[in-house]
Amino acid sequence: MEATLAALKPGEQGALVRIQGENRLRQRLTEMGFIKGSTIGVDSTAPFGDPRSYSIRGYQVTLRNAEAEQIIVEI
Amino acid sequence: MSRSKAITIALAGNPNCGKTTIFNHLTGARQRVGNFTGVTVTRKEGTVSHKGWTINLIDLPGTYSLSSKTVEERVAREYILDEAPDLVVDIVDAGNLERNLFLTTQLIEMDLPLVITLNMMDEVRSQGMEIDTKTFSQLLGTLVVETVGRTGEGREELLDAIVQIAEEGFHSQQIRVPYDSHVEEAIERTREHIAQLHPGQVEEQRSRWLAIKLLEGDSDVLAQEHDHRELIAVAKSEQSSLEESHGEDSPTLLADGRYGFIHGLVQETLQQSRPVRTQNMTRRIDQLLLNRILGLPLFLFFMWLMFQTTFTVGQYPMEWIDAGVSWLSDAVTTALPEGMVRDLLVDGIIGGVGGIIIFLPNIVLLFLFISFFENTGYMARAAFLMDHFMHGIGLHGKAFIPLLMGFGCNVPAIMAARTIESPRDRLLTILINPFMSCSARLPVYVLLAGIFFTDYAGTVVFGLYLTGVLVAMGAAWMMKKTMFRGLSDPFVMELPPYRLPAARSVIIHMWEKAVEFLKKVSGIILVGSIIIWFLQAFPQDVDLTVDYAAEQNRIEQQMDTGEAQEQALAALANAQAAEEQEKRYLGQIGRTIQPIFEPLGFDWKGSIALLTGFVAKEIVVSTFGVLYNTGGEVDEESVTLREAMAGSMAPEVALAFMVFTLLYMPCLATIAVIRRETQSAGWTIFSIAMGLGIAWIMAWIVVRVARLVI
Repeated sequence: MEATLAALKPGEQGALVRIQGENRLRQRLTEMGFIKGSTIGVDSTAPFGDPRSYSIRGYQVTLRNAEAEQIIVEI
Repeated sequence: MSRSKAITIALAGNPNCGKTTIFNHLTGARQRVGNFTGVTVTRKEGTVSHKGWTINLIDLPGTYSLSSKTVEERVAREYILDEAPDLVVDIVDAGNLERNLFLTTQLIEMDLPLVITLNMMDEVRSQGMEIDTKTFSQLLGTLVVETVGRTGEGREELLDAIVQIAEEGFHSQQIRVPYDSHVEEAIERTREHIAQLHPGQVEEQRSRWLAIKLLEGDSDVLAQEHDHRELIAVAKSEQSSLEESHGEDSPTLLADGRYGFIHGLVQETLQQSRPVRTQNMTRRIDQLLLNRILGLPLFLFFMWLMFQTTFTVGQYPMEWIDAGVSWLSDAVTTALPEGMVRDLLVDGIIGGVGGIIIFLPNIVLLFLFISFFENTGYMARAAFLMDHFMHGIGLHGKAFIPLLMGFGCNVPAIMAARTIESPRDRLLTILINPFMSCSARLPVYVLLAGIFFTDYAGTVVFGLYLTGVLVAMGAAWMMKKTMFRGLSDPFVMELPPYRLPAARSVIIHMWEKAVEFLKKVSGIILVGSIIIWFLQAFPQDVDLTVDYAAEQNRIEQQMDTGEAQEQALAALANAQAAEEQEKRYLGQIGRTIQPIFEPLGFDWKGSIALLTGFVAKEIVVSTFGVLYNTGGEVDEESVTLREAMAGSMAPEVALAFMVFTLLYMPCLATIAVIRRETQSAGWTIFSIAMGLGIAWIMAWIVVRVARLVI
């Protein structure tokens, strides 16, 4: 089932399907290893529920929820 | 003798890969710190000698990639392409191989002599992993060295590898990052086109790089080749047919290829050598520090601790510096004959520069904390915790700490804005920083609130701080809606694992900031102090309404020596100082500009005090001391000054005066640092003008509203 990364709950993970939205975000994420098939897991949530941190390729990266909504994963 | 054995080496690597620590280990204290031309990206150079070679090192900014999307990336790439270092040392965080090797693939494609340093090997080993460096080295065709930045392990091996390459002669690796067959065909066709355009000039590997960049749609390379319309047309059509057949944009396709190559490489070389119970320290610390309930209070507690320590511990060295400055000015006073040169030295230069140098301990201590937060990995977490709030006013989470530091002193606060990568967000953070009420403004509030709002002085002072914060937020919001319109940068920020920083790195960082501050003091602040001194010391012979010398004689003759006579003489001297002050250039300017302040209710004394506050805000208090005949040696607690000033202003005017002091142009040191950090006279002037404009408007509103209320 496909879902956006923002819809995942802490502790859940998914495999990247595609990144939507503007080029700048997509290219930055691609360079940082957000490639089709990469496993992304949800880690921490900031005090107001936004942003959240994710693990990918053994490191942690933060994304605002609006950005995570552009990332489609398979769960 | 043969030619001089000197080589230039660039250190490249991802942010948080320990590059600067390695640089510090290699060069020690022999570093030169500056900026890359035209941008505010720190450029560090150093020299080390090894086996008869002089090795010049340059620390490139940390980047995830060498596309030209951020300032750092552009700077790193331009350095590598234009200044052509003999060798690039690529520092790779071995604990985070895949992402770090992305940059490595780009460096390989640029056809550079390369040494790869697998850093933080201690972390890899403690996870029970091993890297087969021999295979690694063979697959990439480069020398590979293992290091541990924190301890300095591997330093000699790295230097040996550098010298080995220097002695064998520099040559490229002849390794290719292979792509999908369609992409390879497109690269080959574009490359042939390039080879035809530059026959014999471009080596195969370099033309491959150019072809890849053209297919990626890299704006810098496209601009560089824009004369070759045909080539660009070929590349564009190759790019769109690739994108069409694969349903992906070309940068993604190429990144897929690179990560595919990296994945294979890591599969072959990284092994779990022994099973280890995963002890993920970072995860456990984050459970506490990024806890949804405790995270924010803990962060605020750390910030409180930072300020508390800075100002209590900083007190001691501040007293020493103060004593040193007084000793120096006393020594100069005794050594030189009375006259203008002595006044210039003592009152202008020593007084002016000394008054600002006194903040050095605070600045150094603040940076000790900042450097510690940054090197442990906590800084990124702080930005993470604050981002939601900061994003609401159009700023990046990282802007919070510089703004908070502004409560201490705007100078280090603006310097700390360098941690914000996006130039636009950094500029915005710098521009609103002066509205954060720094500690030098507090004496003015204490004095005026103490006189005019005795019973609720605390509330008034708190209200002023709050006003500063609200104005900063409002200004940020307004600028984001107008001048800085457009999408804000994505919050794609790495949370590095927690690490204990090397003491050496923290100390070097602190030292750099101290030097940076001192450089500023020696330049613009010196000049500014001299100008202000000149304005308040000239013209020397002003027409006075009273013959003070005769008056002094009269007092000395008519009154008995004793306390009464001393007081009368002091009062006379003050009266003379006040009249002189009024009639000198500064006073003349104060009177001339006073009409501007008329609607706010400030008299000429207030106008002059605000003018002198331009050097440093706390000077406003000592100027009042001079102008209200109580002598310049007063502070905000001085009873005589309070008595003298009581009744001189309406309370609402005093309130407006405090609001104006809060918001108007920052001190000379802040202007100097804004100029330095924005690299733009235009933005510096804008900052001053905005401060003055907002200060005037807010003070006007305060007067009007307060009249209705009080």
